[in-house]
Amino acid sequence: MFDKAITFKGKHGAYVRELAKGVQILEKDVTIFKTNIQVCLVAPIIGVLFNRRATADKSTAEDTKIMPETVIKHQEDLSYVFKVVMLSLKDEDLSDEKRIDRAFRYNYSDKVSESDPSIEEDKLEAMKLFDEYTLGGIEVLHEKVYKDDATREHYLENAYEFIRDFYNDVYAEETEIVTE
Amino acid sequence: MLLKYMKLNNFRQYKGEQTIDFSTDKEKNITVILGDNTSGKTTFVQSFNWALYGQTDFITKKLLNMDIAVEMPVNSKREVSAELVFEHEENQYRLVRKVLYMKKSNGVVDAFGETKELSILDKIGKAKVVEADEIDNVINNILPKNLSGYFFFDGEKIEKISEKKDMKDAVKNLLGLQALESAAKHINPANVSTVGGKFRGAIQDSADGEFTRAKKAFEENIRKKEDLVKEKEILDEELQKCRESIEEARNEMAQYKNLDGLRKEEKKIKDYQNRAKEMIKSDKDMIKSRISSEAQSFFIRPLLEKSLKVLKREGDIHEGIPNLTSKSIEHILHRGYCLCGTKIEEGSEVYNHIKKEQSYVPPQSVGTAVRFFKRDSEKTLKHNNDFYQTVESYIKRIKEAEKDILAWDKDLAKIDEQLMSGEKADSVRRNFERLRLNAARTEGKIQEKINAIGRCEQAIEINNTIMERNMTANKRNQEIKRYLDYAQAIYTYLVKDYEIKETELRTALNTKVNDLFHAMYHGKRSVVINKDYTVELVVADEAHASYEMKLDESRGLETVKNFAFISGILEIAKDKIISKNVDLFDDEPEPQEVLYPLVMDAPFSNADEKHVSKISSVLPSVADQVIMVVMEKDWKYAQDTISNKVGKQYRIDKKSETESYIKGE
Repeated sequence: MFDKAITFKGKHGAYVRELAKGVQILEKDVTIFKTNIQVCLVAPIIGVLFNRRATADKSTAEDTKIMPETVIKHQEDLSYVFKVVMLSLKDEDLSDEKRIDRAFRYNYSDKVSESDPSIEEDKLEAMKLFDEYTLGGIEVLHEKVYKDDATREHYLENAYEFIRDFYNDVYAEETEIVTE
Repeated sequence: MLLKYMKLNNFRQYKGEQTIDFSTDKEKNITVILGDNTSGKTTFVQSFNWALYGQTDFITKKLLNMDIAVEMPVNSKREVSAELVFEHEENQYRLVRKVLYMKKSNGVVDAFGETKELSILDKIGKAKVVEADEIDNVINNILPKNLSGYFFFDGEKIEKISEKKDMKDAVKNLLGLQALESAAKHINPANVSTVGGKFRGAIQDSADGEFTRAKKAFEENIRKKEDLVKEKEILDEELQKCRESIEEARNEMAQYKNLDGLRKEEKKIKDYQNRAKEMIKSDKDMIKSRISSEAQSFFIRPLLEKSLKVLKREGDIHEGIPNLTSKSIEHILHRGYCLCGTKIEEGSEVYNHIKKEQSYVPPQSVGTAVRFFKRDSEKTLKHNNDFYQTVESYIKRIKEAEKDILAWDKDLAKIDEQLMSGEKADSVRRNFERLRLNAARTEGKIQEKINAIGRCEQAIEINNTIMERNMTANKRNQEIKRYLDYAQAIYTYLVKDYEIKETELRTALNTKVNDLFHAMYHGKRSVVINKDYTVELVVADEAHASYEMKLDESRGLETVKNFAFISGILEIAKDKIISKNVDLFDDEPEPQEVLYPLVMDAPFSNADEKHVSKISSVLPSVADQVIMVVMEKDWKYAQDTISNKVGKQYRIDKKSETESYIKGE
């Protein structure tokens, strides 16, 4: 896992571009990340926090690609995020053991194929979930930062407000984990 | 002189016979004639000049109405006439002036002959016809031609009345000083073609011709000095004008001072703005960097807590076989037998079981992985995350800077406004410098003239001495010298007398002007006529008697001032006429109640509403009879103030360029 190029299709591709590489149309830099890969490191977390999943949008041909070299460079970080997602995603029916299996035991390398089909199935499920939370997180980020304002005038302020609200929910009081 | 009526016939655009009766009422002494520009206002005022003196200021001299001139058949005659009836000192005068025009066979219309008639009806009804060549005298005694200009005014003259040159001429006229001036000129021993000059010419020359040489040099230098003095006067005037312009420019500049200061300020503010913009840019960048590097650990916290809980609940993670890696299993499967020695055949149950184990073995052993995970997670949780605070402080700073930039934009806009007008300041300043340069140059030239005049005077003196020396050489010369001395004394006396009378009159005029000025204009300003006939409005500050401020004049104020002059001069002119006619041998001259009219064209053209009503309020008192030709729009403002003093009202109805009619209202 995390040894190949990552591609975001359709609207998610557009979102990532806006969040990290800037949209040429506006001639303004309204990015809040420096590179695309950084979006990948944050989006899955946001997806889980807001319990948002999304599927790839195949409607348009546009996509945003992250080169394999870049992915491999961040492989450790991405794996870490993957583990966190698997352990903390919201699913009341999911056993802790299964979570740990997904996070630590499964070997997601292509070279390894499973003799036990149920394991294979679960592996695929895990990877699918991760992708879906990633895309969901991308959507949430886009919504929170750009808020449907075509001028994108307050993007930084919105980002700040997003951070602030999260801080107030999570850090300001020593409360239980709050996920939306 | 009280005007009763004027009857015009075919006079310029007044086609046919038209009569205007003037109000002779003592109280309602104003006659108003309304007319717009080009309707014939000026023509009307000029008709008085023509009736009385046979002269007009028209550019085209033909008086016959154009329509008549075009319509009349060849070889026919048409008449232009003006009949003026007025009352003076209990007598009634009827003055008629006529010109006959004839159309020649070539179609050209020319004046044929001019006639004038004057008949006087005395208070008991006896009529007397004045002889044609006596008429001018009689009229001049009533209203001298050279003073008539102060009783018949057209609009332009009003504007110029207080200009230096016209003022000077007015005073001279009023004083009847031309005669004095001529006498002095005539005698002036210093000049060549005068009485004095003639005397000098009669002196016999000495044997060696020294006297003649000296006389020649003397006269040459006299002429040269005359020329130089004239040239200097011109330069003086130039300098005066230049100095006035310099003052104007200086005042203008004062408005625009601090241009440099503004520019510096603008630059400073722009620098601030740029720095602020730079800072905002870099702060935004910093925020991005922070987000890029710290957002993950910021957001991940709740998930880490949950993750660790999950791991804790599971207890000790099934380590699996320590250090058993996928590679190890591959090796075992490949070699075909287990650690315990059992054969492993591909596809067998043993094989499959070991294969299964492989999926539980990531490149790292699970326990290790978990241990690393826990360690990293706990580290993250422990780390005092100031991500939010940092972002907040950057955002706050950015907001402040943006606010500042907006405020500076406002400041820049203000400065810009001032600078724009400031560009004009540059040209004003350049003009100022140029004028200063001119003034300096002119001063230099004046100095040259003064020096040259000095040299001439020296030469005059020297040669005069030589001449005098030679003059006493014989008896005849001595006699002539005595005559010359007499001439000099008379000349000196005349000049002095002129100066005294001039000052007297100027002062009297000044007083009268101020009387009327203050009647119209309430305030601390007064009119001052200087020795050189420049006119100023000054403010006398009672607290500091020697401190006077010169003030700018608005156009309306200008008109008020000029009007004060008209009335001042008029009064003095009146006095002069009266005093001239007083019998010198009359021990107790009766106070003459002599009335005079004032005929004006458009006295208000440049005044505003406020000033119009001020002028209007004093109009009735300025002259005994006021005949006023005004434009409708100006009358609007005057009307309210003086309609109760209007005895008669007319309107000039302009039908075409060639036809106007005066209609009563």
